[in-house]
Amino acid sequence: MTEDAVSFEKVIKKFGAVQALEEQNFTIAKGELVSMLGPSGCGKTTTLRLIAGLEMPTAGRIVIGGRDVSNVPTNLRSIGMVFQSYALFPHLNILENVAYGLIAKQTPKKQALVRAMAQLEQLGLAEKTYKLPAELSGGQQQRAALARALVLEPDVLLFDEPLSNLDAKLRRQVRDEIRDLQQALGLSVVYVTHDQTEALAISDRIFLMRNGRIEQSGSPRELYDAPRSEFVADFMGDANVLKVKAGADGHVRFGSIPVPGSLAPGAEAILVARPELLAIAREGQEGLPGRVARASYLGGVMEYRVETELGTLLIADRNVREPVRGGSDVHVLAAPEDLRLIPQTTLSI
Amino acid sequence: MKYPVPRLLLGWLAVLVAAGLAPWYGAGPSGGLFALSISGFPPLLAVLSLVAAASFAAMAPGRGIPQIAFALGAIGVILFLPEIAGQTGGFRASEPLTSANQPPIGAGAVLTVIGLLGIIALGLMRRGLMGGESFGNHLLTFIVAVLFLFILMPLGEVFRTVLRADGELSVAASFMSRTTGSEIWSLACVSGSGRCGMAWNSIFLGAAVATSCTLLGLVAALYVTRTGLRRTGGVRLLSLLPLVTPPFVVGLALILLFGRSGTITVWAADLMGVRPSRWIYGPQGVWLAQTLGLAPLAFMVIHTVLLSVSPSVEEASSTLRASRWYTFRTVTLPLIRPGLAGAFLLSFIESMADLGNPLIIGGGFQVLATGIYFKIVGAQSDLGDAAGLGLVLLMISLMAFFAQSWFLKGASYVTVTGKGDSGRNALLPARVKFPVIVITIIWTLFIILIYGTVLVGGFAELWGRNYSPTLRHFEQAFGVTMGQYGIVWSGGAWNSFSTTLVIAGLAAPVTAALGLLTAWLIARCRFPGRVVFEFTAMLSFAMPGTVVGLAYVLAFNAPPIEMTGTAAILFFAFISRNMPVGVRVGLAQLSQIDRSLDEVSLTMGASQWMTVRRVLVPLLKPAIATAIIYAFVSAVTTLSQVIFLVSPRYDWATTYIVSLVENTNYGPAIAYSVVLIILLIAAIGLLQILLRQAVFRRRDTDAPLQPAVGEIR
Repeated sequence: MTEDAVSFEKVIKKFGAVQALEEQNFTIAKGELVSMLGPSGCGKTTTLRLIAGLEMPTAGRIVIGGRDVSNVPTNLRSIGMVFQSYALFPHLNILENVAYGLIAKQTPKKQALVRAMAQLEQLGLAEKTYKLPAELSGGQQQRAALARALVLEPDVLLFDEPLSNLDAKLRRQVRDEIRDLQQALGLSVVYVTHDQTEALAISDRIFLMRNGRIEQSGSPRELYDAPRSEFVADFMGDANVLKVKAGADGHVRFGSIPVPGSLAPGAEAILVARPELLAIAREGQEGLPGRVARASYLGGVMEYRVETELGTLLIADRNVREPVRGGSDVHVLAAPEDLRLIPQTTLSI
Repeated sequence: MKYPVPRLLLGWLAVLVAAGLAPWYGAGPSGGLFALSISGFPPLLAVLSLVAAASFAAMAPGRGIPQIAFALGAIGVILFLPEIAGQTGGFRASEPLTSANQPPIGAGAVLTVIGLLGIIALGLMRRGLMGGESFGNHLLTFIVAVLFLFILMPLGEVFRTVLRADGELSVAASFMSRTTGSEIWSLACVSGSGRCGMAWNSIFLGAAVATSCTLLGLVAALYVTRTGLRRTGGVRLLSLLPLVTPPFVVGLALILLFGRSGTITVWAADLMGVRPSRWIYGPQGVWLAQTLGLAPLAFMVIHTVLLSVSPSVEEASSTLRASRWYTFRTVTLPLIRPGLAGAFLLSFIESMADLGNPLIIGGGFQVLATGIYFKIVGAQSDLGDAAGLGLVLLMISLMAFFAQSWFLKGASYVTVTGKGDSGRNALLPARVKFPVIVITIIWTLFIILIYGTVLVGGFAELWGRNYSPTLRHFEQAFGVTMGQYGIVWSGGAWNSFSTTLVIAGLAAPVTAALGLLTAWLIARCRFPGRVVFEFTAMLSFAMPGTVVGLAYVLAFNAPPIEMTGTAAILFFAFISRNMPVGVRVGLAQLSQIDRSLDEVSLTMGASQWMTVRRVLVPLLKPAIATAIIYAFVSAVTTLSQVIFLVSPRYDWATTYIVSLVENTNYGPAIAYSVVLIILLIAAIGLLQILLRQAVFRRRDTDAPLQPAVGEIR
């Protein structure tokens, strides 16, 4: 027995001549929630569909719950999937929708309906049992789709952008519900999204994908705080990405602030700084001197664009009571540990 | 993936064993495959050993290739044993059974082929095709077999016949004389020195009919969508009438009105004091009849395209200071141009395929369709020449068909995306609106006149001479008397009427099922050769009815498959010919059903079969109803397709009516037509009811038959 819910061994997927997925190797542990994050066309959905068996790998091995399923069709895999469109059967009521998979697996009808009912109760949909999908709100449809997948007790539960059809407020609530449920039941989940806040909020681990391969994987904090490439830094929220050059001592300086890490003398690198971790000082000589090119009031924060010798910096400042006016000369401050260097060689493109 | 194989294999092996015991031949020597091959008849011994090899290969482990190869080999021997294929003269029972003297195959052989197809399907599953699903693989195998047997093989037989050497002539010379003779391609009529060839007649007529149909269709479509008039339902309904009418009924009505003793002819002759003329007989009459009969088709195509022009582009045009006329000329018309081209080519194809109208009011005017007819049933009977004409007709139709699909593909850029496209289509400018209204009203009146004539004609004692009302014609056709032994169906039409209803009724659901399942394979499954599969499935759509009939006569007139004179040949002819309708309707509907519905069903452990049955069938209800009714209607109204296939025992309504017309027995012919039309209207009504029950339709912009038929073409 293995503790992995899913593992990919040298999996490759091609559509004709197009390489959709470069060689993939990863494992997802039991009870873990992993997000596949990335821009459209990065291969995250293809990976999900490979797990589901809706696509077959061109090469490599896919193991689910300790069983090699590389050539097993979808309907014989132990998976559950929640689609972006929910894909509730419009001609069946909610109870029939949820019982569908049980009946497909030859469960006696009465027993199937009882179990489906119990599942609906667990997700708070008991009152909607006999409604048609079209009579439910978006959030309820989403939960019904979840109930339908859960009732089969799959080895791994797959979500394909499940929140993208919900409005912003509901999205946050349903996101939390999914996470709570996953933790309570110890579910193994693969969750595809293109929204990095969603991924950050919900995941144990994030696989950030790009052009058919995993660019970086790790905990949400690792990806946000320690991006290994410009792409990761940029994708995981707003970031100042600056081209910098090491001095003769092999160090990069942010004005008067030394940036941790050493490079070869004169080597080029990328400096990443999160806007909310930078501060603006009207007085003093500490930090990086610059001039405010634009100051925008965004309600909760002030957003500044400051021109410095390293380039234009975006700064989010919580102090909205006493904004700095455009055209002022200022210094940009940062804690050294919040400034991160990415050596130029690891850059793609 | 593994468990269904053994169970299914046992099933198919059982079929094969049963097949070996059932009588192999349909006539002549009795005995099954086992008995006959043990008695030492070599071809059957070959079949038996191949069947055995395929069975053993299927039971042994492996990847499926051997069992597929052996099974294909066995089917090949059964169908293509060179000595018997195309053998004429039939089985001579007095002579011994040899490979050159065999009767047509019977139940045993049919069952064997079915069992072998099952073995092939299992082989494909082993190859892992479509994820090794049993449903998809069996479906694919059996549909391919149907396509091969009932479309490709008959078509191949047409080619073979054209290429058969004619007496002294070489193959090439026979081919040339059959396809390029002056009878076909002469252009003498242009210079006024004689008659033109049939091919040119067909093409000129088709072009003329297509032009008038497209114009009428455009006008009517504009009337319905762009005049802002409320009462357009009547126009739509009237324009649907010709669709449920056997095509030649319009020609028949024209004879009653404009023939030598036609009502209008006589009235006009009296008025002007001239002798009644026969002017309606000839190309002009055929043109008029076809235009009236086919314009509704053009209307539907253009109407669908006009509806899909997004109102917002017309509104945008008017905000840019364009007048209505300018908008119409520079925005609306260019956007529907592909639709116009599609309507033109569709009318052209249908005109080329029409046999009834040229037959009854063509006079001496011969087109390809009638040419084939006379080559088969006439005094100048020559199957080779008929096949040559069929080939020419087929090629012209195919070219038009491809041109049409090409143009309609271009129409896709006007399709609305679905959401947020509210607004109102621009109204017509006055200078267009007025003629549109006038022409539409004239057309409508003409249709009312035609159908009024048909309706009244059935009750007139002797049209043109004596208009006193009578039920005599209905009695003659549909009389029922109480005889000594109970009810006697004494009317002359009962035989053909019941055959028509039963066979069309049996064929329609099968046709629809086959078409829709084919659509499902094309749209939802992945397998090598899918494009070829789709092409073949749609091929018979471009085949004119006369060509289908001809091909069936050539292919199924001799062993191994001998079906002429049976009900089966009609049944299969309808299935293969009308199946593409189901494919089109199915593809259109499936594209409306989100693929994730199928996928989610699979993720929950449902098999393909369960997914189709529990998810897709309920959602495809409208398509199923449309396909069934359409298959039924076109089977009932066709003439060209059945005219060579009917027999005294299995006569068809349309051929019976035409034979009445040919004997100038107009009364009963019209009475019969009226009954048919009413029956078909009832069928369409049923469709409407069924469609209303289907709750899950997406958008309901139009009369339900319309999008369907628009997409079909």
